[in-house]
Amino acid sequence: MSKETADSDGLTWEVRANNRPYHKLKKFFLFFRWGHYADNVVRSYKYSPLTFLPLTLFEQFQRAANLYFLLMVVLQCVPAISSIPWYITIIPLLAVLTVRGIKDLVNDMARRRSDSEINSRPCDVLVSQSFTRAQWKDVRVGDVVRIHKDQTIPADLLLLCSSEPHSLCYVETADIDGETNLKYRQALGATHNELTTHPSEEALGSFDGVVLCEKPNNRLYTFRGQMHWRGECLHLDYEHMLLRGTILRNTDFAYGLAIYTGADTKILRNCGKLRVKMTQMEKVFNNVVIGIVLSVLLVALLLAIGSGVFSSQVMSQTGVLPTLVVNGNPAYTGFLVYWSYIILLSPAMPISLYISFELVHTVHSLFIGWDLEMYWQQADRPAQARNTSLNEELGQVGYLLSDKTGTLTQNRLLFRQCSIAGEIYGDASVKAEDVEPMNLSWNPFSRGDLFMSAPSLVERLRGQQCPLSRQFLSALALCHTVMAEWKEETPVYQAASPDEEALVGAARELGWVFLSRTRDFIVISELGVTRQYQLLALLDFTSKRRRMSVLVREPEGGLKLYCKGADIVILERLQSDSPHQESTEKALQLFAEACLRTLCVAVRSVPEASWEQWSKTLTQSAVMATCERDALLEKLYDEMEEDLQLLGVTAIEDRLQEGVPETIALLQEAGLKVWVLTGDKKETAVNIGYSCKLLDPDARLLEWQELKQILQSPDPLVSFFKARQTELWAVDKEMAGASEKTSVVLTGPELAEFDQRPEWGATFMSIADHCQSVLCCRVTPAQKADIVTLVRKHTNSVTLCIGDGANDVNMIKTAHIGVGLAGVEGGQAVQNADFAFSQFRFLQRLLLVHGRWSYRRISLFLRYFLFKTCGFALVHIWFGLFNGFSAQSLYETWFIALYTAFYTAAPVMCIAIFEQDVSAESSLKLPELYKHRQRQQRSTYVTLSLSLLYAVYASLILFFIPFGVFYDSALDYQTMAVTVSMAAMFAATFEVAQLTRYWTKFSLAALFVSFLLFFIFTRITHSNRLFEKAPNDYFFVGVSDKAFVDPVVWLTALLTSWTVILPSVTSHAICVILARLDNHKVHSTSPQPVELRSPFRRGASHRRSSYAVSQGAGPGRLITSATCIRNTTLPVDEKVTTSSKPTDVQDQA
Amino acid sequence: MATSYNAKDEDGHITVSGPSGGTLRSKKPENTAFKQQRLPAWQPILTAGTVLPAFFIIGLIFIPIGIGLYVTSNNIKEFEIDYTGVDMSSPCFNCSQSFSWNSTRPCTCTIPFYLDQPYESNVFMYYGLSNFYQNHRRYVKSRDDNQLNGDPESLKGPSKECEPYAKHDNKPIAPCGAIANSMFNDTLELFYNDPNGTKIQIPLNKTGIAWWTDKHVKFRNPEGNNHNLTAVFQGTTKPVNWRRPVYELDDDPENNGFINEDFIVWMRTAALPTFRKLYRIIPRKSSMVPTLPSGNYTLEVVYNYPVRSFEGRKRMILSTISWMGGKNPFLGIAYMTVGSVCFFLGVVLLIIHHKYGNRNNSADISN
Repeated sequence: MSKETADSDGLTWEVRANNRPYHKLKKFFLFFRWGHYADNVVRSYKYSPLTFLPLTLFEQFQRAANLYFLLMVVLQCVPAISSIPWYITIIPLLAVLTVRGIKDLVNDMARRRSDSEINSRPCDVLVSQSFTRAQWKDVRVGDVVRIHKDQTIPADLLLLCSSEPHSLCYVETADIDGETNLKYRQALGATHNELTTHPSEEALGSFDGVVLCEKPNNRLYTFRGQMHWRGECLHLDYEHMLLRGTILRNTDFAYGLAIYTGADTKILRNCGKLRVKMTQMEKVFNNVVIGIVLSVLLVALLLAIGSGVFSSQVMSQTGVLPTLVVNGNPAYTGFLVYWSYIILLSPAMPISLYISFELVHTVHSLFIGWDLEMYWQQADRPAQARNTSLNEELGQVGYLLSDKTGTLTQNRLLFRQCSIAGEIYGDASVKAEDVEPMNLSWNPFSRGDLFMSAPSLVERLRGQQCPLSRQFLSALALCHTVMAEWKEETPVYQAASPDEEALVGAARELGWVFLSRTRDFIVISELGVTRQYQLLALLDFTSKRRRMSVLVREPEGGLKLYCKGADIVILERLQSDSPHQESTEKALQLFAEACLRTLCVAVRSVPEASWEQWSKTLTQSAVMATCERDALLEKLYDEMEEDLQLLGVTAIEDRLQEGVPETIALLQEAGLKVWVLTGDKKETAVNIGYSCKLLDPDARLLEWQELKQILQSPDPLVSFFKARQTELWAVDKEMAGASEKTSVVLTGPELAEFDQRPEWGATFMSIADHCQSVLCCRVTPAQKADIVTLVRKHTNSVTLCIGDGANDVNMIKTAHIGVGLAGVEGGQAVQNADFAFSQFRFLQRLLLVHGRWSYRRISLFLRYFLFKTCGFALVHIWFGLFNGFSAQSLYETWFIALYTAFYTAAPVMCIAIFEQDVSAESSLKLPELYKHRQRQQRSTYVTLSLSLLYAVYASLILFFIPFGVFYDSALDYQTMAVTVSMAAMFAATFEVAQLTRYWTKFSLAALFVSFLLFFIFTRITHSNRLFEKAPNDYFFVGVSDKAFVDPVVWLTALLTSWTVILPSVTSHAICVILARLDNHKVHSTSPQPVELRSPFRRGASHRRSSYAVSQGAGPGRLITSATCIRNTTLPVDEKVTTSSKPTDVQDQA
Repeated sequence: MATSYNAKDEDGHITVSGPSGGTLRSKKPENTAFKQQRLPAWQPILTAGTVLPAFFIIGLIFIPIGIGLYVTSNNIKEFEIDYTGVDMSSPCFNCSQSFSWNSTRPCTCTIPFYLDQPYESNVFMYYGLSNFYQNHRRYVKSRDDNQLNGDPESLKGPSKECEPYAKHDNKPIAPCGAIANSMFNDTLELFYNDPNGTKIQIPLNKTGIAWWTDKHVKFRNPEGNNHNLTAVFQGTTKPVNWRRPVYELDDDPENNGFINEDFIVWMRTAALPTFRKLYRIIPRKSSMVPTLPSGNYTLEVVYNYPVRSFEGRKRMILSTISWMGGKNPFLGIAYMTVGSVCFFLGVVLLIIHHKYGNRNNSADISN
């Protein structure tokens, strides 16, 4: 294929091996393609020393609030309109900008550090015929890179060759798709042959292939490309790629050609965009702030009109006032007064609100980090709130979307039980850690990692009494695709499936040690006796067959077929009168109830004649066309796997993280919808769903076919309920009433159909809303994020995503709240998460305790703050009616400056930091309390509007009671200013006191300090000394001396403040009387023990048998062709000569 | 409901100090009551039993206070006379026709009045103005506190805030600004018409009417010790509307210039457009004789201040005072009202409690 046709195919990404200038050239000459090839540097930081100041200022002034305050400062600098001096706003504004800027800078530095840590990871790059140690950031497109064993791959590479035969190599993709089994990647035959025959560096250095492939994209499982080399055009696909983020395993070296680097790599393309997260409360609050600002503008306009009218009336008079009308023009005066009023009313929206808000958020985040209950001793890792502005959102979560591998499960599979010939060994009800280890000292190969106690089984095995159990273990040791690698005189198993590894490992512990395999032989040690089985055929696993078999010739000469697979498949293939079938089915039931993953093991003796017949057909099939062959093979395999004799059942536990089922149950009780999104197979996911109580044993699984029908029906919800009802009717009449017993199970490809039918989204969500849970399997990171987006789009709920790997990064970023589990490896999820901790179960504390408290504290804080600042500032409207709309302030300027910062800040901060309506223990015991917090936005609007209304009332009282007292009296303006200030301050303090429910020593101290500060600062600003220094700034000299001893001032202030808080006290009293407060309820009922949900029902439970190897074909093909069997005794250098001939493979035994 | 967590804390500390004693510093959070959010706290549990009495108690406190204030206010004797001269029949009608500040000839009017009660102890004499926006921002700002504090520089160069009353004929105005310019300049004199026919002038104290801080701190003449104020104010001019320069306000050097108490009282601007200011104090002569016995009086007004130009009113007020100052019925009434409202709310809440409260509570418990 020529280059032109490649172009038309969309293969426009050209990579020339070992040709750095080519990739660089493009960068400089064609400036519009500058950066066509990204370098391999991860840049998540934003600032450089030069750009920091402009960027941070630009960013900060994008916040409407900051811009507004800047405007206020500018206005206040204009003498004609400045109703309060300019320094009253600029100091807090500068403080806000500085604090915020420093915070951003610190965060950016942290990002820089983590970036440079990643960028400076070592890797070997081929530079002029030799590999030099370089760093990740030095890798360029077209470079040849050498990867060592257990190294993480730095860029998306095209595998050229490896140290293994056939240039095979193994990668672990846990960071990409969450699957832990090893994947095989194989280089092109051409590159393998050419590049491994010579000394590798020379050959690689002269390699000049040109790769044409797709533009960088985010499709993890596809790759299209061609390689033009030595006149040949070779097709490349996904199998040839080593993706960035995967880890090279069991392969000493792999050589790759960098195709995509840095931001072009598939995993980074899947990472999604970093988005600034904002809590819903903040959004609502911002809207309220905008509302306040608009109302202030409107009120100022009305007052300005009043001022114009007043001025024009005054103009017709003689006296002093007409001369004060600016330029003798009432309209102009009105115009100036407009701005003056904007300034005067601006304290209604004080800048300190934003400072305090941020401070409160920070403290709440610190509390999360300080929580001992969320500290993980083993890893010495406390919880961490990386994003400090999402705390209250934790109290409103409606959807929990969780990753599976590493998040719900520990990624450890343990052989816990088995049933041989109807007899059950081991006890799964004992925790794995508590299992008494058996004495296996007789077994030199034992490594002591068997979590099953069955001395009777060992006795039987060693006593040679029970042929069935011996056969059972032979089956385990023979029927698999595991590879053995010898390390320090013990075999180390490398399995494509963790299940198989667990099974083979268990067999080893019990004395049936799998030693090694070649293409034709499997060597095992049976209780110390080494036996060599000839491998005649390997009937591989497929997701359709759900079983695998090996056909072996025993050393004695007999032919045996060992088969293992899902129970349904095996049970229907048994001999008609198979013994133990009934007891085995009972065991299956038992294992299923204990949420163990089961496999049935069976055996069949194959007569020599039928084998010959069968193998003949098999050989014939080898020459047939692919599709026909597959069908024939299927049939052939079917024929062979018949008439089986049941040996037993294995039961494997997929270890859950500690406390997962309890946490999920608790969260569901708290009204959360729990969804699981995993890249893993459906069977595994469903199994885990059951074991972590996400799926009820008697819940119905709604799968794609059915769901599709429902979605396509004209009235989806009705048909959904109908479907559910009929189903339930059949199972149990009484269950029909019980809701939420349906769970949806979907897979990635099915979800992809949603892209074509966007109208399904809303319907799906409304159906999902009625389901207990939703499981999405085989989804890519991007799809995970799409699901989150779907939920966000169609519900108002807050979504929380939790995950641990790089494959969860996108969804963590997309969700309202992203939680990263700090797992054993890979900090990617944590890096991008808003909250990070080590154990899934900490989630309950994060949400039910911290989230709930934060929500309550912050909503109290906001409500109170609005009340106190608006109530205090709006007084000027009413005063305006009596001073000719002249924008005269009713307060001393110093009082305005100090009111929010000193006189009323401390108590509300105490509320925002210490307030607890319910103790942490009760919060966890009464998850229903959490439900109240998941209210919609509307109620936030209502409560905020109510507090605004209350503030208006307060301002009316604050003005009109003193007005009545001061009307036609000899008391002057300044005394009235002090009186109203006092009343406002008292009212704010009384209100906060009656909101506080949790009186710590700090709250009490804050209250006293506020009073003290008010009196001290007032005396100071009214002192003679300051007046003498600057008479024009401290002209209130001597007022407080007189006012603070005047009983009228005190009586007025006390009456006013009490009247201000009267409505709030009354409404609170009504709540107390009607006992509507959660608080009261909890305290009155807390002695009653709260029952956690009882263990899940064990009714007609379904058997869950599955086999956790990759979807699609297993690795059997590679074994039978012996491509992956390597020679461990050969030194690396000689390996270049290894060919595919099986004779080269030495027998370890 | 204060709870102590001391025991727990100690336990925690032991476990913390144990493993972290090594060289490696553990990241384990400290087990302090603050960090674990277990601060001992008092959580008042409010019930109907505690809330309801609060309303009645507040009501029972406020109503007596209100009654006390109201009675005190009512015991204050106050006499008010409007001498604006709006009516044709008013003696000051003629004088009020002049709208000018500087009519060359002072106009005098005499108003007779009758006090039906004797006024005991000190009697305070106020002038009251209505519809005078002394709290207008541009008016309030129109002064220079530096100048009034005796700053020589500000005397010669008044602040911009004083515009347009900063300079006149290129000479700085002392005192500058609109407040000073519009100073109240009526002269009020009080005569007692003895039943035997003689007219006795009542002595009026013109000192002691300003605040101590104002007189001694805020207002100072330039070159404070120099009693030759004429020389001190050399080079300045009087406010446009004034008849006399500031250094001729009084003969007493302690009450002249910027520290003239009438001036100081005027400069302390009022809060609202209707206000009164202390004008004179009539000291009591002895405890035996009332300061102002009941009978006929005459108020003689030198009518200068043109309030009709802004539709204002002028009043003269005689008043005794109590511990709460002058007459102020509003505060007493307000206290009584709020007290009654609290009481009423208490009753309403009691009814609610009896009708709904119990049932709801029992429902909760049964849950």
